Amino acid sequence: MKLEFEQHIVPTDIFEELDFSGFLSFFDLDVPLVPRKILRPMTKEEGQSHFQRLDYLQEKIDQGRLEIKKLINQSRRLPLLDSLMVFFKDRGLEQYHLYDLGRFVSENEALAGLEKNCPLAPEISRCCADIRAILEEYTQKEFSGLVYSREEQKISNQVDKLAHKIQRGLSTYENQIYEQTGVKMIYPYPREIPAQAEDISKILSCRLLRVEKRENMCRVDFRLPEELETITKEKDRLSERFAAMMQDKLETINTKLQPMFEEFAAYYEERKNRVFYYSLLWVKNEYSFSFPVFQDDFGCRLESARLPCLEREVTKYVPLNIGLNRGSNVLFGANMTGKTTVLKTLYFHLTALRMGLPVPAGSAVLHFPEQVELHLKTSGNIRTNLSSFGDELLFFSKTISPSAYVLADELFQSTDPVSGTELSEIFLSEFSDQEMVFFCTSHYPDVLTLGAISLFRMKDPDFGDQEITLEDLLNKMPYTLERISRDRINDALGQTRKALRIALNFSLPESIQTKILSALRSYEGRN
Amino acid sequence: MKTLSFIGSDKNAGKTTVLNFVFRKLSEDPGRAVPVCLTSIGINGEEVDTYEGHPKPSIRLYKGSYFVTACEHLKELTGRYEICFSFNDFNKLYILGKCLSDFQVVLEGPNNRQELLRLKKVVGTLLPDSRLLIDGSIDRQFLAHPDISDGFYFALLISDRKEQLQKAHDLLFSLTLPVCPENHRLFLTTTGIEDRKSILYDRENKILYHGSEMPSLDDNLKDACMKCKDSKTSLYLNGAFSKSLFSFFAPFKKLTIILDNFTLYQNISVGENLGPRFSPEIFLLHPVRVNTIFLREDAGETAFPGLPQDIPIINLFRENPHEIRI
Repeated sequence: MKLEFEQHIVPTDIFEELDFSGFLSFFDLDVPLVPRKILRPMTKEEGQSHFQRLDYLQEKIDQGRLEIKKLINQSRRLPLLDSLMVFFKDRGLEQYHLYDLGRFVSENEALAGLEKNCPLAPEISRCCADIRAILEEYTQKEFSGLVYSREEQKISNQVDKLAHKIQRGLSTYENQIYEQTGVKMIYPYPREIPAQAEDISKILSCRLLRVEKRENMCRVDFRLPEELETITKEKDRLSERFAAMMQDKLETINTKLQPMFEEFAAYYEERKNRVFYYSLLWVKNEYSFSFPVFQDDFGCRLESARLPCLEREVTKYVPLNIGLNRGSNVLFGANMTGKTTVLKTLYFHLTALRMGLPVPAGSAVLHFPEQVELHLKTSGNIRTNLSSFGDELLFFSKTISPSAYVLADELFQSTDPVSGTELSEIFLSEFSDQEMVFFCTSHYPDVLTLGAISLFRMKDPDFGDQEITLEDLLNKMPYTLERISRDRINDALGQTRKALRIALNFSLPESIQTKILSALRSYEGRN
Repeated sequence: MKTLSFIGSDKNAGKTTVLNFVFRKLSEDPGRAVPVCLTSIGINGEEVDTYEGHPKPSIRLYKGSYFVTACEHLKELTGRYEICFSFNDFNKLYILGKCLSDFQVVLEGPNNRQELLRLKKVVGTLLPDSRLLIDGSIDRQFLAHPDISDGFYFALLISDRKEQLQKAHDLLFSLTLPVCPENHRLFLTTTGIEDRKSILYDRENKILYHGSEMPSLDDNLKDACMKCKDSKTSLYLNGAFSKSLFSFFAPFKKLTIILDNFTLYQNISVGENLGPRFSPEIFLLHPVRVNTIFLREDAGETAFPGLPQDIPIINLFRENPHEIRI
């Protein structure tokens, strides 16, 4: 089952960076019935109902009333019938369609046997048994061949007998030619005999052969006796009759099956959906992913949320725990502490949930993410004639629907600090009383003092007084965030200048390093 | 299961006739216990040539034999076959069928490597001791890979037309290319070359360039080769060794070229005048096992130089072979 996202839902660069392809490949389970599916963002109603059905099936699995491994294995045996359905509808099923249809209904019966505690569409499932009964009447050897009536069998035998008779006749004929001319008339024909061949006069005078002279070569073919031609004609006549009888049989089968089409088509769609659900459930259980729990209140809480592409790449990976409130949420902290990764992890999970997929997290409690937008800082775009600031304003010009999740990295860092702070304050207060989640990172200290926003801080490593290497620094980085209450804002703000400490870990020119150290000492002296 | 592929040097070289002949031989063998399954890359067995309108040899299957073809060719054959497997997730709907009586059929099997490998897996599982006969095509290069074919039958058209003779010469020349030395084979088969169209490497097996573009269109490959023109290097190619590449590499005296398989060396027209001027040595990574070469001589008795000595050569229309190599 190859899953894809509908185009333009996730920008290409983010899609690649967060390796959505790798994530979607978890669901590539080789299930012929659902070979490919394009996922589209769901509405709140669709999403809630989708996950509700998944939760129901998960509950049955947890209770031991459904065995997901057996279900997925049996689901793999069901053939895809998409191309057959139009022939079914138009009474145009051929012999090879009957084989696939027969395999489907019989394998489906085995699958239904595993679903007794959670039957699929019981009100219409009867059609499968009815189809099977008809197919078993007209086909044999597990639907692989048609059953012949006596008359059909008789004609088929006659055709075989005539074929043997022709074969024997040809052999006798070939022997006669060989005896008369010394030419072996074996396939392929016409034979090519040199014009100077020893027996050419015998060949030319043989009444059993047709000879066409060509420069220094003679092309020699059969001149079939009338008797053989008569038998061949009779065989062709009977073969045509047999073919007509088979067409009649197919018409009869189609006429009997057609009334079941509507119910079967509905059942087939239900079956495909159910198999799709089994695939999602199998992945969820196999990789310890989670389905979301939806809440009426606006906000989002993720526990142990992982970003698979990052988890694979780094030796030290810290899953994300975060709870965002309705309205504006601001995350601050020193550079390299993982703020942007927090935004990307959130975006990854919200997008996957919006598409109806389980997520690599311990739990996810949230309002349904009908709209998810992410803005990462850019260097502008000369093609669209936009600076990074213009690009950011364009992002906020989008229609933001109620209940959206809007994520922005380094809010208005794209302009001068005074204007950036003012714009940040305007947007944060605008979003703070809306029924949505706005979550941004910021380095502007003034925005942290705004009322009605939730504040978070990335924990810093404890540098101590020792000089540490960049590698040590990365190893010590906690990559965790903490919520800051109003009364601790000043303490939190006091922990600035960490960027200067971090800068010292890079091999900058010595004169620059000296100046950074001097600035740090002067700051520490003041505090 | 053994897979035997049929390739013709040109249109009307008699490829389908050869397939029919080998199929008949296998079917007539009174002591045979092996099932035979026929398929084709592309469409074969139509009574009339779609492009030129002239009659073509049909493919007649015998009761008890097997076939893989696209279902659209079976509409007139209802009730005359049984279905053993349905490939309903391929680009087209194909079935593996068993003949309940003799009949003529148009064969059209899958046309790409992945699907053909899956077809082989299914036939190999259901008919483990069978012979799979593939009516092939010279321009389907994957056919020559050892994962696909265990042996080949060639149909060679020898006429008085220069172009056709040249094609026959090219095909024969590609069969005579030697297999690359063992150290190259070891290096190339352990370096993950499946998706690479070219690998340029030096004497210490250090990779200097690898490309996934068709070699004839890969300008970076040409740049890389030019840079080390004066040192001893080897170039593996898994894309058509075109005329333009042939001309480009002709002066490279220290280069060794290793073609993945013989089908890549086609339409180069390396005539006697051009041949000696081509400096690099050429080898094959995957050797070709030719069971028999079948000639079709359109111009009476023609002297055709360059026929290999160690491969049986038969003119089907003029000779009566008792045995053929399977």
